[in-house]
Amino acid sequence: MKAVIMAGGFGTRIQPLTSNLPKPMIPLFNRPIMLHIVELLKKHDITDLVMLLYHQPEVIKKFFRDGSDFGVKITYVIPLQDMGTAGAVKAAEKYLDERFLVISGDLLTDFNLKKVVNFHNDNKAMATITLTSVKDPLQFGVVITDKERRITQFLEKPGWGEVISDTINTGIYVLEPEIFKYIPEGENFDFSQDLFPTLLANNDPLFGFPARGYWRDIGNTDSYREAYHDIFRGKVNLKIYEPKLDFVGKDLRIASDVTLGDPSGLEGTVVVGDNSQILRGVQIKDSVIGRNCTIEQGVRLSRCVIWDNTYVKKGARINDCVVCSNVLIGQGASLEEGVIIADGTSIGDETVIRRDVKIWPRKVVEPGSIVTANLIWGEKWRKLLFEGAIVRGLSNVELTPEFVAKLGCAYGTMLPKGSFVLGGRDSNRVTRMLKRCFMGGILSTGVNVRDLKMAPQPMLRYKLKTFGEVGGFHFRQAEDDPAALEIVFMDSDGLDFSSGMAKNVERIFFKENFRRAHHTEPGAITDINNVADYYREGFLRAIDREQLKKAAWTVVIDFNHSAASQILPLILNELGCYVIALNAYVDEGRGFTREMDKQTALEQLSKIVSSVGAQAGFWLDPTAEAITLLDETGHILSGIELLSLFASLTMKSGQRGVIAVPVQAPSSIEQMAAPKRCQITRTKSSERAMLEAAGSSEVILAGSTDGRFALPVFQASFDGMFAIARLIELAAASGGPLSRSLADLPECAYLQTSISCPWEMKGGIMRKMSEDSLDKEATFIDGIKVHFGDEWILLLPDQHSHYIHIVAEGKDHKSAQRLLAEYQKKVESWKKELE
Amino acid sequence: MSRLLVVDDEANIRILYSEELADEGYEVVTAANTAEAIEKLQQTPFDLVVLDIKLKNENGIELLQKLVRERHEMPVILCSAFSCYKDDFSAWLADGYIVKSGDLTELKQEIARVLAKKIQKAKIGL
Repeated sequence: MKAVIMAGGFGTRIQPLTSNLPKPMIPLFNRPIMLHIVELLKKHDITDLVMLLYHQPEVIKKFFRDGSDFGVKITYVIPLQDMGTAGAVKAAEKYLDERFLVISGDLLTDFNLKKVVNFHNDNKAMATITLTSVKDPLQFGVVITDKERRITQFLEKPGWGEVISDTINTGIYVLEPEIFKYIPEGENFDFSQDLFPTLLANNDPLFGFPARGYWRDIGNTDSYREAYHDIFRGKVNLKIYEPKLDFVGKDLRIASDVTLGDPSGLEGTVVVGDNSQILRGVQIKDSVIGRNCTIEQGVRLSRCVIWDNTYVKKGARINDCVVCSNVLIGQGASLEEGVIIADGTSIGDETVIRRDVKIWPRKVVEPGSIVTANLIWGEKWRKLLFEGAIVRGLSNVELTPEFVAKLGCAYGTMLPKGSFVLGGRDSNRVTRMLKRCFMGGILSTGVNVRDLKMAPQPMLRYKLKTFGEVGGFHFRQAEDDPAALEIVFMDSDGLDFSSGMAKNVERIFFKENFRRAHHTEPGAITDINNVADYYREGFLRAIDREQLKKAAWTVVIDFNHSAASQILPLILNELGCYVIALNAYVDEGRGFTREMDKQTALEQLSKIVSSVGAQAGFWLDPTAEAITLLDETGHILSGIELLSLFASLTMKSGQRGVIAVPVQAPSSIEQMAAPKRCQITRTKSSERAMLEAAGSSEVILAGSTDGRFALPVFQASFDGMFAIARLIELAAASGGPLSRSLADLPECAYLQTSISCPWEMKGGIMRKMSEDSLDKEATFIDGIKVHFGDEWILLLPDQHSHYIHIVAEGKDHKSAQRLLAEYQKKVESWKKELE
Repeated sequence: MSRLLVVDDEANIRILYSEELADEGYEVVTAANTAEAIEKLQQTPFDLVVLDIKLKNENGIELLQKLVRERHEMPVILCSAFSCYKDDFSAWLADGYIVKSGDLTELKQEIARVLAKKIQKAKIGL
């Protein structure tokens, strides 16, 4: 007798186990599920097999070949398209000229197939469906038979109201070749939906045989794990290929070339595949370990399935999980019940993966992470959500609607119930979509949102300085990657989130310890419409209108399609400036300018400035926080030149006070300040540190080396719009063109570079630098800055990326170059030592 | 000891605030209208002003704007029997906003918060 094994399914419901394998080849006790079916057929003397393949057929053919290795004869049939179950069997019609049995290749069963065949013969049936009783028949096809076991009715996936039996179709059939006359050639035709109802309608002998024994459709990952549990409990009779070791009270099945350190920690049924190493001090209970695996000391496994070539490092704890092939589980990692780790994934040390989380293939989970949600699309699960005050990720890939909604819940939970937060976004469509999801999360915690909608971030910060809100957030597209999105979190003063606040949100997010508002008390969204007017009034109050009106500058501004284009031209016009605005319309569908495009835009801007005879050109970054300045000749100022110029013009204006600059700013600023009435203070390079300094009542300017300026006379936050107006005011007051003010700046030989450095090495490099600087004059505001008279070198580890920045200032370009090269060499040699 | 100026057209409120805030350790001076407030502000410096929005025929917001223009270092807390002024952007110039109530706890907390912020701002080490 022949049998047809249906092995064409995609295994979509059981993903990610089927990411690299067709479903019938998923291992069950270190052998493909389908091999257990082959063994079952062989056990009942059915050795002439037809395998119906469709999805990844080569994987199955490569394993079974002609079947001789397994004592059977195999014929492969691969339909050209998805024909349905009966249609696929029709494709094998020429091999099926006698009674045959049909069985799925992804079942776990120990039915006595002989009994089914005998029943079929005794009843002279055209088709016999093997039946079994299940607790939950809703997801199967229910079959009703009469006293003679003749089928009288089918109920395909019934509701509870329709259930009149718990007897279901198991997908195992005995069929006569006559059935082929009912199956149309080349059409999609299904056994349950089409063929059997047709036989029933024609009153053909269609019987149901209630089989006794174990049967399970391994349809999803839960069912896969439950199949193992049933085998461990002895509910099903399954052949285990690994030889049994003679241990009293233990069922140890150990294959060849296995290193077994100490079997005393092994309990229940433990199966270990060829060439695996189980080191000492492990505790393993009811688990199956594949081939070429290593389980290190102190590992605890309970009811686990581990496929091939997987490495579990010291002290990991894995409970009732499936770990696929080529996986690395880090030291001390903890995998809770129901976790599925797909092929090729790396789980970092001390990571916790929460219950029922599925991680798709080839992902990297950073050490110390707490993974609370399935990781499907992104490449990485980060240990930390925040980089400073920002949560950043790929739009709709890493920062998905469900992710940001959860983040909103975490943020709202941290805030007092009934309080208000202020929200805003840039002009992009994806930020709009995700901000709405985020706000939903906040509202669910009973916190209200005042929605500024599309607004430049400086305006949002300006409002936050007033009463009424306990914090704010701004959604924007990342400037360096249009596919990425950034969520900037601010405190009640409009300052960036502190690290403590960020940690608090992270803690709530990962523990999922959310506050859920009662259904009568969710937060409300209110639109807030007066902020632009309030901002404009404050802006005009803080600027010398007469000076600007008298100067009547013509300026060219590239607005980058940002929301600032709706505000700044009106203000500058009111101040007597003639504004030539470029890219001054909001375009939701357009991504922000990439760095390469920025350069092109600046070159274009340069030509326009010089050709229209403008006094200055400005490139306003999409966040409206940073600017790039071009003088009247079209010269594009570097960040260092702009900071020096701004500081110089501020000093020349006769203002008294403190100018705050980051540690890496050039010393020429101090030189300029000496004869004036200003003091210079150095701050850490972080945005928050600079803005905290700007919050001091003595500070009149805080400026970064990348074009961001805070002017406390208006607001102690970076504001590119106000910086533009202020620069025009100061430059106009100086009486000459910008190029002259620029030429008056002291010469500064300033160079910088960045060296790639693994995170774990950064501390070591900084220690080496400290040791190297012991006998030198050094400051430690941020990184390590070593002074050599008027020259200096700074080593600054990047907060958010694997780089160390080296900044050098010398008397001239040559000496700066020499200093930079010397320390570059030092860092490289320290790296080698630390390796 | 911080010196507070309370500007309110209702005598009873001025008395209540004076006594309660004095018990908190503040030195309290009161004014019944804008002119009196300006006069007292010219005589001596204050650390904070508690300002009623509705001052009979005058608008406290106008005084607020004047104070912001001329003494932007000095914080102002607005007091009103109505919450609707919270959405008036002219009111946002203030450092705090309190809806009047028989229980002065919120006012006291707000005064303490705003003064602490002022001290913090002056203290930032540079």
